[in-house]
Amino acid sequence: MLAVQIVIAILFILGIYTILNRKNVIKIIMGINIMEASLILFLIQLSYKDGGTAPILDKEYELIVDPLPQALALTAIVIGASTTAVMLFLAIKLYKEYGTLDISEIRRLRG
Amino acid sequence: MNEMIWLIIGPLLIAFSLLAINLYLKKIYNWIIISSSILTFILSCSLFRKVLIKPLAYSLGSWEMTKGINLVADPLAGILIVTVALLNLLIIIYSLAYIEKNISKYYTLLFVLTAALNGMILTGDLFNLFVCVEIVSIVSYALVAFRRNHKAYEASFKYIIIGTVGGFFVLLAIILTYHQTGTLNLAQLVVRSSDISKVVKSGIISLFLIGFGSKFALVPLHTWLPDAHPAAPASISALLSGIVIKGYLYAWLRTLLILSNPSEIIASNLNLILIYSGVITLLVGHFLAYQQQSLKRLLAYSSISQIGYIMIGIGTLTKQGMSGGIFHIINHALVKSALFLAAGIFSEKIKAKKIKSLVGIGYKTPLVALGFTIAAITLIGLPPFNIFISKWLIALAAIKAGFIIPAGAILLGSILALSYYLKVIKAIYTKKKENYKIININWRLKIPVITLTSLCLIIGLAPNILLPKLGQAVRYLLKSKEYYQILFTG
Amino acid sequence: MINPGIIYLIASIILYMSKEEWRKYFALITAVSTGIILFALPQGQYLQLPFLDFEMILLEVTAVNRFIGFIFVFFSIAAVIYGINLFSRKDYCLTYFYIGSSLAIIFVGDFFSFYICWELMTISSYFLIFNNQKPVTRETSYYYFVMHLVGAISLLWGILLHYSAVGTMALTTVKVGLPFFILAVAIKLAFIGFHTWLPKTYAETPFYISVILSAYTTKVGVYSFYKLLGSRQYLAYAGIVTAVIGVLLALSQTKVRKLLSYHIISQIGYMIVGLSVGTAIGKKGGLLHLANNILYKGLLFMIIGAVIYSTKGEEDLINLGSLFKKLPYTTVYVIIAAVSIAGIPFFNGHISKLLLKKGTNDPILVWGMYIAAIGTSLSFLKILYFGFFKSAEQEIETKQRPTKGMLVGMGLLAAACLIIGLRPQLLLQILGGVKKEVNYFSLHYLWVGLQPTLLAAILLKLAYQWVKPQPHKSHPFDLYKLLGRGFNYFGSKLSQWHNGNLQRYILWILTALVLLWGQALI
Repeated sequence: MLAVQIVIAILFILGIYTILNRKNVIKIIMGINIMEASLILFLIQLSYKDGGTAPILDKEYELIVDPLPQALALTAIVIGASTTAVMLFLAIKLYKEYGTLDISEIRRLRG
Repeated sequence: MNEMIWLIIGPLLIAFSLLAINLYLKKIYNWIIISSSILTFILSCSLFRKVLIKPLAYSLGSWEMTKGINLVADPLAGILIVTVALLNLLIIIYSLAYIEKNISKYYTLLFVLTAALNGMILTGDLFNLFVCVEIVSIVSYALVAFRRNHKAYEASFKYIIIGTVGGFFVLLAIILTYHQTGTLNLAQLVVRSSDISKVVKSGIISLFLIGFGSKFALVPLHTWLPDAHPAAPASISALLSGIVIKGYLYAWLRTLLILSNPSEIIASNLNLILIYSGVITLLVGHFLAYQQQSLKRLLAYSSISQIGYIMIGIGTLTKQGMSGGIFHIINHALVKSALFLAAGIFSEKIKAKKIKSLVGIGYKTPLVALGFTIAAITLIGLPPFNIFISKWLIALAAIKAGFIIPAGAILLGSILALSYYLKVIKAIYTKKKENYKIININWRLKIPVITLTSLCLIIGLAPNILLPKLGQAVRYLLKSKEYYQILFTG
Repeated sequence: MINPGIIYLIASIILYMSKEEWRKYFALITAVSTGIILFALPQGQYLQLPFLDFEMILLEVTAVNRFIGFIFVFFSIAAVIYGINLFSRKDYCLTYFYIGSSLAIIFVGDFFSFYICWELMTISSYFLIFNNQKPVTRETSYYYFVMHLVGAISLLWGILLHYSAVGTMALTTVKVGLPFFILAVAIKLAFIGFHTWLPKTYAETPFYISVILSAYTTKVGVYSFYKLLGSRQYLAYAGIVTAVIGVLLALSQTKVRKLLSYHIISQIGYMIVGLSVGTAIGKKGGLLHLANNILYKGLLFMIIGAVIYSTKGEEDLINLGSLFKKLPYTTVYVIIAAVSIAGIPFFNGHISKLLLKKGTNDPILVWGMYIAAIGTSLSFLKILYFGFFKSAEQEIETKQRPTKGMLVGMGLLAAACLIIGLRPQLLLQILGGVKKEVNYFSLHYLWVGLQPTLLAAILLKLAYQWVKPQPHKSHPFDLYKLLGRGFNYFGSKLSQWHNGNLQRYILWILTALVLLWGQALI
């Protein structure tokens, strides 16, 4: 369990690091996705029980995993996917308009 | 029929059926949009009337209250829903004449936005709150990029990165809450929030504040707003500045007061942080607005500063201050929308985007310019308009709660606001030529501006039509435990 | 029962919508009928309206506010007649709004409505001053509005402090938050040091607008001084400083309206002295001086307006001269006005100055008033001599004669000056009369009244070179503009930090999060 949590923390920090330190727009988007993955992993880790089965509410299955976080994880994945789609669309358009993917040069709006 | 569920599903259904209607029933397209938004407005009014008597709860799919998806509505939610519906209606009237390209995408997005906003306000559990917040955000990103020029793309990209990071913080906070309490239902959270250990709770509250704060533009998390709001079409800027950021604010406020109660907040000094972040927000907003050359950017910074006033009102945590803050939310929604819509008319019809190029517009479009002027004077906080009343309430509450400096900052803000709005008014009424031709403006563009400004005057002259209801709303907000007990025990 | 100011406010909306040919008659009828209504108002409190969590008192009639109300309405009649053919639709509407709000402020009985009227006055006067033909008014009106808003905000802050400490809204002498009320009033009535808005604005608006402005803004300031601050000795000294410095600044001006503007400041000084010395006679003297000042200062502004009108824009004493041949009626009026303001017996200035002198015992104040009176006389001798009687090197052309309306308006005010000068009791009885012992026309007082003018005449002769209108620099130093620049500098620095770099923005967010969490853990 602890190992998983450490991995989650590393992933989260890695995502933030990528967003802060990479100039490339695509890499920033990847950083966002790494962050998201770590959060989803966290959700799954919450509900995980050793030897648990799928949440079927029946007397046969005593040890079941918590269904709620899994539902949440699915929704979060959907949201993440759509956000990523919009981001990538914007990255393409930015490249067309600015001729670069360097985020430090995409700053005509300021002040 | 239950209004709550229809307020969410209705706009959603219309949004997607619009795509088909656009293909097959193009003739009645406009009628469908107008009539459905009127219908939403009527529904929201009827919901508001009901919740004034008694807060309502509704459970989807006949699950138990604590297990299924719930919708709850109290007077505060009712008021916000009415504001959303009213603005939505007016903005749709405006858009009929304003939006010329990509019509079907535009209205689809607009209705999804309305549905998600309604969902955000009415939802009864944290995760649905997150889902609705994200839907609102994604739609806003798309709408900001709607103009399809480099500014729009850049603004939208910055918005999406900051918004998503903020969204992750919210999600992390929600996961932590679930980890600690084992529930996401607001009603159960009220009871179980005391189980959360102190360290984790402070973390959760900080994450919520930063996450939502980066969506409702609290300084220093505001940086996307002055890019994003001006880049969108004027009607969308009006919606974003008017109600969307207030929706996030509402969501944050609800979660905050469910996770902890006023006495806890005061004990952990969070109220000081809220109030002083409000002070910084309003000062920074005003100072930066003064620097702007472009009208819509100025308005965007002014929106940031208004968030500061609201934060001060909320931070007092007294009944008077909070009702002042919420009153300010509504007032600002009306005024800022009027300003953005008028600015949209200026930029669209006269091609005037910079403040300098507004010269003489007061003679070309007298009525709209008058509306803009009145709205600007309102926003400065001069009587007898509504913003003055809410500033008065907030300042008085701050003084009574012992926050002298923040109260002073509220008043100082008026002077700062005057310094830049007066620049705009000055440009509007400057006469360079002897005779200006009056430009013909579609009535659909004029009506929303006039309605909103006259509403400002009406509410300013008779604030008592709204204030008692706000008092009721705040009572439920401050005593969330009682509220949810009432709700679930009948 | 209705607050007379509200009649004007409603009238302003009707004036905006009414037809061209009816407008002026309607304006006149409104003014006259308000005067009649004012006569009929009995004293007491009326029109209470619950608002938020207090009562608004929209009408409270006392001797003092009836007195000031009369003068305000009377002046508005004269001013409307004066400009009856000059006002455009916008002017009528804004003027009535402005007069209405200043009349309403006199009659309200609680702080909240007091503040609202105060702001309405500022807003409407801003748009009156903002004149789209003259570019310079854009700057001056901006300056005016910002400065007045500073005053208004200070008033609002005072009111908030007062209300939260005392718990009632009733308009009384304040006990809490006095400095803020003083600042607010000081800006409104143009204390020296807070006066910078006044000469700028009054000298640049169209002449018929400056006639109206000259009468109301500062006088409302004086009324609020009376109502809010009460009598405090140290304010009397501030008043005398204002009176003396105002007159000195006036003496160096050559543009007549600028000169008159500085005179307003100086005359305000007198009123403050009267109101803050704390004697009953002084108070009545101060209020009567307020009335007199509205009459003759308004008359003077009208006269210079007539000059500007007939010469098409000339108001510099350097260029003016020998107008008495061309504008005979106006010359009669200017003599009446100048004599009144100089305090010569049988004119109204004499009466109020006498009462002020009777009311003060402090020698500093008496001497200060004496010096100010000499300065006043000198500057009006200057106007009379250089403007109307001295033959100019280049004969100034009059292109059109003053309209009949102008002459009638000026005549009304001149007549009022004379009547009050001869029968002061007519006006004073509204205030409750003054004890019999002041005999205005005893030889001693006549001599006292003449002294300053005689001294001034001698001074004019002796220091001719110094007094003579000559080109001069206007004051380049303005503390408030400097403050504005500092504000701008700070803003531009702040703006530079927002350099458009996304990663910097995200860093801010993370820093905020860390700080917030860290502080919560500690």
